[in-house]
Amino acid sequence: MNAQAVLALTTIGAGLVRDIVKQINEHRAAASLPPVTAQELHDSTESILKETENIQ
Amino acid sequence: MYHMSKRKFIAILGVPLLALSLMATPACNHPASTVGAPMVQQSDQIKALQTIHDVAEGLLSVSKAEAQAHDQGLVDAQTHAAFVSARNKAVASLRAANDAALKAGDRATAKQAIQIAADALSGLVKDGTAAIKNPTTKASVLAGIAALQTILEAF
Repeated sequence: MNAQAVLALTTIGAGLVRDIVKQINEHRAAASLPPVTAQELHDSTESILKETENIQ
Repeated sequence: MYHMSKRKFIAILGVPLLALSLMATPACNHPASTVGAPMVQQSDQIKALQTIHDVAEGLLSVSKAEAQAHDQGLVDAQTHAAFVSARNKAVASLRAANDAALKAGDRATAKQAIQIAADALSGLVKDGTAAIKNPTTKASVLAGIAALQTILEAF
């Protein structure tokens, strides 16, 4: 096998690794995400506070 | 059939696999690592927002209970008005705490947001419950607020 062939296979291998790492990181990010976003939690709290203010 | 040398085999498969194993190492398993820091900060922000959310829900329940007691004649109009005024001050402070938690970038700033919420509840105990004369109603409201304070202290 010549140097070009080795380089080509290495490049393909590196691309494959990037794809796998990307999938792993995406999976990990999805697993560590909280059930709701910070903004959604904030807005939900604001809604509750407004409801509380309206109790007379 | 071409016979690949050991060196070429390592170059083609070994290096990418080594890179894969290094890149896939969970950063969060290393508390001292700066790589894992943003994830910790996000957790603190979410935890603070969730805690304040829980307290807001609790305050809503306490307010409903107090309003019901007023409707049943257990709390006079003047006392009820005093509670509503103090409660609305607490709501304003909780709103400030909620905004501060949204901007929290680390545990220290998240803790500051929690402290704003804690001060809000202390003010409600002092100003909102002092005028309640009915012991049962007063005990219920105080117990409700104490439960919320426990949630904040657990942060």
